[in-house]
This record gives sequence, structure tokens and C-alpha cells, in this order.
Amino acid sequence: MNRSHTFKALARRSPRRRSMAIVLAASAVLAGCVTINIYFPAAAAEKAADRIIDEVWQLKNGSQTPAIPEGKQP
Amino acid sequence: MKTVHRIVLLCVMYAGAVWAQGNLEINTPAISQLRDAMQARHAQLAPHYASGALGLTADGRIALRDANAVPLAQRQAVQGLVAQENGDRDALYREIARANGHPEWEADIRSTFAQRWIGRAQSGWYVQSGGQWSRK
Amino acid sequence: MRPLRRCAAALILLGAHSSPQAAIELRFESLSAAAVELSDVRIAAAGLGGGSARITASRALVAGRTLQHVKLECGDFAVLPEMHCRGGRLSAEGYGPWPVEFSLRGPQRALRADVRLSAEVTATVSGDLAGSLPQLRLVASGVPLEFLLGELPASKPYVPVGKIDVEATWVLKEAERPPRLRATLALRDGRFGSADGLRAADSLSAVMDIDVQRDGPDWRGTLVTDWRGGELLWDSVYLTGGGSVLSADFRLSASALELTSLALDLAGIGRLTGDATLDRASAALRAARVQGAELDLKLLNERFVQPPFAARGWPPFVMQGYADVAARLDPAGLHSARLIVRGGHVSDAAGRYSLQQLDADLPWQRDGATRMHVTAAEGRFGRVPVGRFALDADVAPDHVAVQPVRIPLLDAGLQLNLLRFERVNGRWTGDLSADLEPLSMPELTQALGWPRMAGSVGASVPHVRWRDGVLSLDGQLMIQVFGGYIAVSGLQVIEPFGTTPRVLSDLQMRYVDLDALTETFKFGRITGRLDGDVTGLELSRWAPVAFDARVRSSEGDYPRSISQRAVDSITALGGSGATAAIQRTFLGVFERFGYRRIGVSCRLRNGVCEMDGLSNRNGGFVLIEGGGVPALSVVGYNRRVDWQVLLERLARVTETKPVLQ
Repeated sequence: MNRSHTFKALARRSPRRRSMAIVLAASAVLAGCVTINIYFPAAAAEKAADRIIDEVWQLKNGSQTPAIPEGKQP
Repeated sequence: MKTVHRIVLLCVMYAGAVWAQGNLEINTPAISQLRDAMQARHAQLAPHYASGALGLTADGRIALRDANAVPLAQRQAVQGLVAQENGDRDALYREIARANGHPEWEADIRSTFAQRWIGRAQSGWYVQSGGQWSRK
Repeated sequence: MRPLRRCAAALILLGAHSSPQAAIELRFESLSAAAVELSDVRIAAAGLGGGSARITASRALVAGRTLQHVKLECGDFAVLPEMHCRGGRLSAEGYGPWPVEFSLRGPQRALRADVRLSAEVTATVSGDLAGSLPQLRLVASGVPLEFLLGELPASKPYVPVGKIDVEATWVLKEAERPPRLRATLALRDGRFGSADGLRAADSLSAVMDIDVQRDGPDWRGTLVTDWRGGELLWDSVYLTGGGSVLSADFRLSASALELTSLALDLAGIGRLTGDATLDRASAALRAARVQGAELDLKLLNERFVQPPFAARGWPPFVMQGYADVAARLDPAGLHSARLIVRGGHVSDAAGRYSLQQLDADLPWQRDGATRMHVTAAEGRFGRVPVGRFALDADVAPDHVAVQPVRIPLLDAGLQLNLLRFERVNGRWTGDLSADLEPLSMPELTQALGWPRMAGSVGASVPHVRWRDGVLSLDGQLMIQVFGGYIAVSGLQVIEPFGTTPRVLSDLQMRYVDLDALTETFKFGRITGRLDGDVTGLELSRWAPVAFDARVRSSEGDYPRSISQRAVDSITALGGSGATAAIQRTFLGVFERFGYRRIGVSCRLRNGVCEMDGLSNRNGGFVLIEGGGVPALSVVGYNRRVDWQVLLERLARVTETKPVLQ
């Protein structure tokens, strides 16, 4: 996928640089993965906010007020 | 920056559809209690939003922006309602973050709510942005 | 004009060239009469017997107030045979122009002047300037309040408006005494409001009586203000009605207003007395002393203490009794204060606590340390009665330390070893250490309204800290109960006083005597010992939302038996009545069964308890493993039970309210 493209592009440079680039890319990937841990589900939060706002403000046009709320319902 | 984004995206895909469902847990007893308390209070607050006495702040709370719009005898009570509502709102954001196992999301949840409260406010209500009040 | 005789400076007749129409021009460097001082006065008149005239003063000091560029123009002005001014206009910088007419007649120099302040308001001055009792009377109704307050800086942000009816008598000279002014000012429809609307008043009515006389360069007198009605909001304090009277002696000098023998009667509460000095120019407080005795705490609390609490959304409380207060203020605010409470009662409006026959001596200083002393004859925490105790606390601006104290609780006591609050970098922190002496369970359960339980309960709290809204326990909280103990560790209470208190904790229960626990409930009787572990316990608003709990019979040698009723209860918790089945078999003849092990676990998540037992059997899980003869095992099949349903079933089989919600 994208990653292999990156590696191919880097491979055209000197071999020494290449290994360094791999290390850098790997650490970037790792750093990226760390970023994932704090990834905030903005769309889901908006949906959750809307559902609560519908309830609190009793908005009739908030059509999607289902009887069984979504979420990790058993 | 772009490559970093790409890598992040990649990792998200690798990490599996952890958040792909896109639903936040909002059905805990604590959240329900807060929501019900706020719903019950809304009947008392609504006329004051409409009169411009109360406004929705940029930090997901409400504020008494112009007490002059409230009859003198009720201003004391409205101050108390505002304090209670803000206590519940703060607790709500904290509870949602906790219920989803990410207490550190509290600030993000607060700002999401702030945008949605403001975005869905009725026309004529006052909302705050950049420290300034404006009428929707 | 008799008062003008005290003209202080040269009179200069000027040549006609300066004003072509004027036949007469007079100039006075200064003129003074009772309570009036004019500087740089110029009079230009067409003649003594009539014609237009113009009188100006660059500055006038009237009753202590300075007016600039005072000007009087008369269409028809005469000095002879009697003085009059018709079709006049009076103005000063910021005032007027007002239509004015006046006349001065006869040997008594009888004055009559009408100043039309507005279309509706005319001030009339009448009286004699000469004779045996020279005095003037001023009557004006509906004078705008803002006109009387002028440019007072303290009143400006509040935009006061209202109408004042003025009736004043000005005795110019009486038996060689200095001039004296007596006035009644009646305010009606008074209102004011700050920009944010949090300090405001409406429909105010009040009557102020002033009796003032000149004393050298100062004015001194008495002042009585009777608030008769209207509404007043000051931050969160809202007062209505009236019935409060403020009286004082005062002295107004060039720089200050001194109030002495100040008395404020607060309707229903009592009387505050004191004295105060205010800066004259800014009306800012320089110093004040206030004291009051036998004030009614109930109304004082309702009107002045509760409102600021309520405005912050804090839980309300009720007070009764009497209080003495004393306070000293300086320009920086409250300097020191002392509150003495006698025979007080304090209780939470929701009934969570109460203290009765409270006596307290609470001194306080802004910049120093004081020792506060409180005694309470009795009280209640929740439903648990508290006996007499005396509390001493050292209070300083950044530090509050309660001295070790024993608070009697039922037949035992709570020993408070340490209770300290400190402000570090502007944030308050707290530390607590306490021991609960062994308390009789029968008494405690009776007080709580629970079914009677045997044994005793004691606890030891080594150290609890309060930081940033979180109450956390260092070490273990040990509770000795039912012959065993419960150890609480990792306890955190987040926002205990907030809207959503949250508790995180782990519990360890060892060797708890089931006999003592079960004999009181209609649960049925289990003889034996129990161990339990609860990890990740999480309460929200004091109700459990998550935990992993395991309870099992303790290791060791002790009698183990379980009554049929208990078996019935346990199976009923699972949702199905097995008793009927048991009773139909030969097992029905046995009252009690032996058992080898008991074990159950519950993992609570999202309102569902996932249950498990000692081992798996036939797709179910074993809760009670039988032993002896007859051996009876209880096997559960429903692994997922709704927590609320479980609590309801528990309530049903114990026929009491569940302890946990």
C-alpha cells in the first residue's frame, strides 16, 4: 500500500541512506501509532452530543431518538 | 505533515476498526441521571435563553449574560439554575469521557458539545464565539 | 440684600463701556451668605427700577456642592422699590437653564422664588430673610434623584433614577445659633441597575429625615433613613418589602463623611450598630466598625448567608438561634470579624446532617491566626446520632487545623486524629486521619433503620487526602465487622460534593461471619465464614456502575450449614424458585443442609452482572457445593443478570430495602 510506495521511492537513494530511512520511517509509523491512541472520534462525539441535546432540549425534529439507544448495549 | 497524516491513517487501518463503529457510550446510569436532570431544568431555562438573559458559551456551558432581562425577583434563582446547569454539564462531559474509557477526551467532548449546543440553538438565542456574544 | 452685607471683597464700579445696555455694573470678588458662597460675581442691570439684568458667578458653593458658571438672566429686574426678577433664566454648568421668578418684599424681606426645574417640577422657596426669625422653606415634589445625586462617582455605574419629594426648612439665624437645615426627602419609584443587572432595585420607596447645621467649616447633623418598600438585589442577596431603618449622626467635612452612632435595624433580624468614615470625593470606605447582638440566625441565614451559596449551586442548609457579630473594615475590605453563636441549630435542607444546641466563638482575622471554638450538644450524620463534642480549630489565612477530638457516635466514638486544610498556590488541600471505635451493630442498624445485625463495627482511616476535588485514601481503611474485616484500598472519591460523586475502590473481605449477617434478614440462615474480593469497584452518585466481585467460603475448619429458606433465597436470586422442586422431593423434610463450599462472582458492566460460580456443571455454574448428608448443590444457569433486577430480587427475598441502590 502506501507504505511500500514510500519505501520504493526511498530505495532510489544510496543504500546507507536507505537503511536509515527505514529506521526513520519505522519510527514515524510507530509515532503515528502512538497518535492513534489519542485519536478522538469526533463524528461519534457529535452524534452522541446531538442525541443528548435532543433529549435535554426535547427537540421534536431530532427524529432519530430511538427507544433502544445505541452504544455497547449487551 | 501530509505524510504523517497518511501514516496515521494507515495505522488506523492496521489497528482494526476499533473506533470504526463510531458510537460513544452514553447510556450509563450517571449520564442518564445528568441528562434527565438537565432536561427537567430546561423548562425553567428556556424562557431565559429566548429573552437573551442566558447565552451558550464557547466552552460548553451557559452564562447569565444579561440579568436585566430577568425580573428582579427571579435573578437570584436564575443564578442558582445557571450554577447547577454548569455543574451538570461539566459532569456530563467528564462522565462521557470516563464511560468510554478515555478520561483524557473530556476537553474534546466539551468542545464538541459546545459546537453542537451552539449549532442547534434556536434562532434568537445568544451564543458566544471568540468572547463575543451574538444572536442566532 | 441682608446676607450680601457679608460681602468679602471690593466692589468695583466699572465704566459703561464694558456692556453697552447696562447702566449699572457691579463686580464682587466673593459674596457669602448662609450656606452659599459665590466667587467672581458680576451684576449688569439696565437700571434700578426695571429692565433686563444679568448676574453671573464663576463659581458657587451651595450647601457644600460646587457649581460652575452660574448665570441668572432676568427679563425684568428691579431693586427699587422692591426687588424682583421676572422672566428669568437660571443656569449653571450641567444644570438648567430653568425658568425662574422671584420677589423680595417688605421690611421682613419676604422672599418668594419659583424655579421651574422641568415642565412638571417646580421648586418653591419662600420665607423671610430678615426679622426676628429669618428662615426659608423649600418645597419641591418629584425632583429627579439623579439631580440630587449629581456627579457622585460611586452612584454613577448604577444609573439611579427616581422621584424625590423635598420639604426643607432652612433657619438662617436663631438666637445666635448657626444656620440649620431640616429636610425630609421622600423617594418614590426609585430604581437603579448595574450594567450586568446583578445589582439593581425597583419600586424603591424610602423616607430620609436630615437635621443638619453648620459647624465651622463642616456640616454636622443626624440622618434617619426608613426603607419603606420595593425590591433590592445586591449580587445574590435579594431583599423585598422594607421595614429596615438606618440612623446615624454625621459630620461632613471637606474630605470625609463621618458616621457615628450608626444603627441599622434589619426587619426581623435585629440591630447593627457601628461607625464609619467615607471619603467624601469617592464615597469609598475608609474605616468602619459594625456590631450586633442577639441577631436572629434563621432570617440572617435566609436573607444573607444562603443566597451566595445558592447562586453557586451549593446545597442549602437551615440555621436557627442567635448570633452576636462584630466586624472591622478598612479600605481593603473585612479586616477582622467575630461571630458568636448561642443555642444554634444547623441542618442540611436535605436532612443529611444536623447539629443542635450549637455554641460557637468564631474569631477571624485577615492577616493573622485565630482559634475558633465550637461545641454541639447533639447532632446527626445521616441517621446516626452524634453526642456532645467540643471542637477547637486554629484558623489562619492559608491554614485551618482542627485539634484532635473525639465525637461520640452511639455507644462508641469517632476519634479525629488529624483534620487540616492548607492553601498552597491558591488551592486548598486537606488531610484527615481518624479511627472509629468498635460500634455496636445492633445499635447502628437500629439507628439506620436496617434489620438488626449482631456484632460490632470499627474502622481505622490512616490518612485521607483532599486534592483538587478528589478525596483519596493512603494505605488501607480497615473495617472490623461480623467477626472478620473488610479492607478498603485504593479508595478515591471524586467530587464528593459535586453533582456526580464518583467512588473508585478495591475491597477485601476476610472471615466474615455469615451467621451474624444472615440471621437478621429473612434471607434464611447460613452458618459459616465468607471471604470476598471486589476489584475495580466504581460508584457513580453512590450507586455501583462497575466491579469485579468474587465471594467464597473461607478456608479452614468451621461449621457449615445452610437453611432451606436460604437455598430458596439464593435460587430466587437466579430468577426461578427451586424451593417448590425441593419441597416436592424427600429433601423437603430437611430444614438444614451441609455444604462444602460456597462461591459466586459477579462482573458488573453496563448494568449487567455476569455471574459465575465455583465450577462449571452441565452448562451451568455451581454456587453451592453440597457436603455431608443430605448433600445439596445449587447450580446457576443464567449467567447474565440485569443488576437492577438482581437488586429487586434481593430486596424481595430479604424483605428490606437493599443497602445498595
